[in-house]
Amino acid sequence: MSSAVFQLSDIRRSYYVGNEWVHAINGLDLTIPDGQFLAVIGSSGSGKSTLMHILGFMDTPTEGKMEFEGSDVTGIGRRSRAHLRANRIGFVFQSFNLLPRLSVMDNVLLPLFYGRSGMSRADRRAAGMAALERVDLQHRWQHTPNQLSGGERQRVAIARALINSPRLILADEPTGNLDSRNREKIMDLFVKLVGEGITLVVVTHDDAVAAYAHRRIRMQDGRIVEDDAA
Amino acid sequence: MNVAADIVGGIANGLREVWSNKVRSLLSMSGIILGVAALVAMVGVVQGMVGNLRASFEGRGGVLRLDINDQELPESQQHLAGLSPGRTLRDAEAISQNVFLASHVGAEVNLRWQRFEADGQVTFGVLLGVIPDNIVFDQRELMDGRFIADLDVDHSQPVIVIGSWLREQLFPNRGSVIGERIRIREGIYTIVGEFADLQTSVAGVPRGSGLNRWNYIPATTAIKRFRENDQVDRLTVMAASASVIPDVISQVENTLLLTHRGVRDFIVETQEESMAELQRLERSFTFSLGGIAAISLLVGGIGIMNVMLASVSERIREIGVRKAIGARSHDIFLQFLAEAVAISILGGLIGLFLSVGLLAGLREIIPDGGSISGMPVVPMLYGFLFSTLVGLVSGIYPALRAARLDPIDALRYE
Ligand SMILES: Nc1ncnc2c1ncn2[C@@H]1O[C@H](COP(=O)(O)OP(=O)(O)O)[C@@H](O)[C@H]1O
Ligand SMILES: [Mg+2]
Repeated sequence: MSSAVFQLSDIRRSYYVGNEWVHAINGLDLTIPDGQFLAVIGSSGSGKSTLMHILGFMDTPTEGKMEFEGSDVTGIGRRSRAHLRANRIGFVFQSFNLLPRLSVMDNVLLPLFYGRSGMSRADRRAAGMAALERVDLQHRWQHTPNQLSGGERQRVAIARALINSPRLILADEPTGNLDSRNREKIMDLFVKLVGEGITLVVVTHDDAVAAYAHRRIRMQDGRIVEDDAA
Repeated sequence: MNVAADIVGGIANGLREVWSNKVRSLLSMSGIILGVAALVAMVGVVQGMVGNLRASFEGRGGVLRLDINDQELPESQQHLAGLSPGRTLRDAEAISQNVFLASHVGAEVNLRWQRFEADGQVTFGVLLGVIPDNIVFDQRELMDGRFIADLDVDHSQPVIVIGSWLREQLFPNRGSVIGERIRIREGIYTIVGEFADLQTSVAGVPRGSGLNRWNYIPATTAIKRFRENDQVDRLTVMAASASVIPDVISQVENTLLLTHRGVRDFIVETQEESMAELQRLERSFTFSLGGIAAISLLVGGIGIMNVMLASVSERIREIGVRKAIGARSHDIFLQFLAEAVAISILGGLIGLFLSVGLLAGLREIIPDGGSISGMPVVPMLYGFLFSTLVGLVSGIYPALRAARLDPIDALRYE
């Protein structure tokens, strides 16, 4: 039994652009143990986002082997990937990406709809409330995103990532659009969630953010060039 | 997975989306609204008008009615031309005696416009010489007195049944006019009956003003006083039932061959042709007007497609987010399709409301529009169905475009 959430072996993700190959990920091995807070750093274009997309089942590697929670997910189809996105993984974006026309509550509940949870209305409402409580925004559930500050929006996005009780949360530059006070608030929240057993991968080029993590990996040209754990 | 709940939820979400974009949605709906309103109103009007024609057709005997008309002699009988007396009252008599499957026999001598005089007043009206059964064919209702009777015909009585025009012109502000006298040319006629006023008209022809000027005297009187020969202008037979029509035709033909001395200068015509004509008319009206409405529905569909395409490109990022958090392409497809359907359903409903208003107006404007249904259920159902279908079809392409978006590209989109 593997206690790793993810195990990637010799992953490649290449694009054919113009008439040459661009290797966004170029032979990458990575094991993410259960409960780890992993920071991915590296210069722009080094492949961090591509890695996150692969981990988030939004993209598939062109080559390599991929295990998720102990089972091989290398060639799984679009439906299975959508199912995993909806039920097993929470995604947090740099620009929050809340749907402006939905209330805070409806934004948080959206993954339940796509996860086909089969929960009753009342149960969903309760789950949404619980998720908002974890990010300390339960009193704002009726608001719309544009009535919230940037930091609050990102916390709503985190609540949305939490709604399906995922084991893994992926955050691509989650504090990139926030000031330092809000950045700290978000990072404290992440640390708390990790303390509650969640595995977290955060992409950042902010050393202060990376400092919160258990482990840091540095990427360059689609490969890991530095790893704390090694 | 509960598909029905998905669809209902999708349409509810679609309506919310429509609501949050009121002006744009209304604009995109306008084609559907007008299309449905036009479809329902036009088909409703056609049905009402054709219903009128059918009612008057049925009223004048419907399919049971047979018209005996003059006919060119066949080649082989050209030399017998002078032998036949033509259609006369004797034909009517012979038919009612011999053709026992005929329920009514009518004959008419059309004396056209005449000058009527009474009480020092003068007016003009149509004068017809008839026999008693004509009241059945012409569907007239008496308000006072009686119609032309057998005895009137037998003795060429100088009696007249008048329409409301004559009473208004010759005897204004009077009670019963039965027994009053009217002068036509040199003759004096006693009024024995008066028709009820006809308010209605047929398919735009103002029946009231026309038929109210019709007045009836016995056919024999008409022939004696106004004609050189004894021919009638119309000869009509009503069959007892539809199943005996062929028998009635052959019986009438046999009878008339006797009275016409073997000369085939007549033809018995059924209403089949006019019935078919009526149906052709209805069909061509329905198709041409329905076609116009269908085109505006099509335009409505293009409008919806346009707005949906705009909506998709406006919400590329939203689509990316939805996919990132677990929406399948099929979910996105249904979401946008439901939105298009929601627009068309809403547009269709508004169109139905509008059509009810339109029909109410048309009932007022169109002569004899009273027979137009204010709420033609079947056309309304069709209109609603078509508009929903249009929304469904025009939503497919935009929804497909939304569903096919790659989540990573969509998320990167600004
Ligand atoms: N869809 C694509 N087509 C072509 N090249 C791409 C595509 N996505 C990413 N790349 C390339 O892959 C490399 C890594 O990109 P990315 O993972 O976004 O880097 P980072 O997030 O570290 O800035 C870059 O050189 C980028 O240009
Ligand atoms: Mg990036």
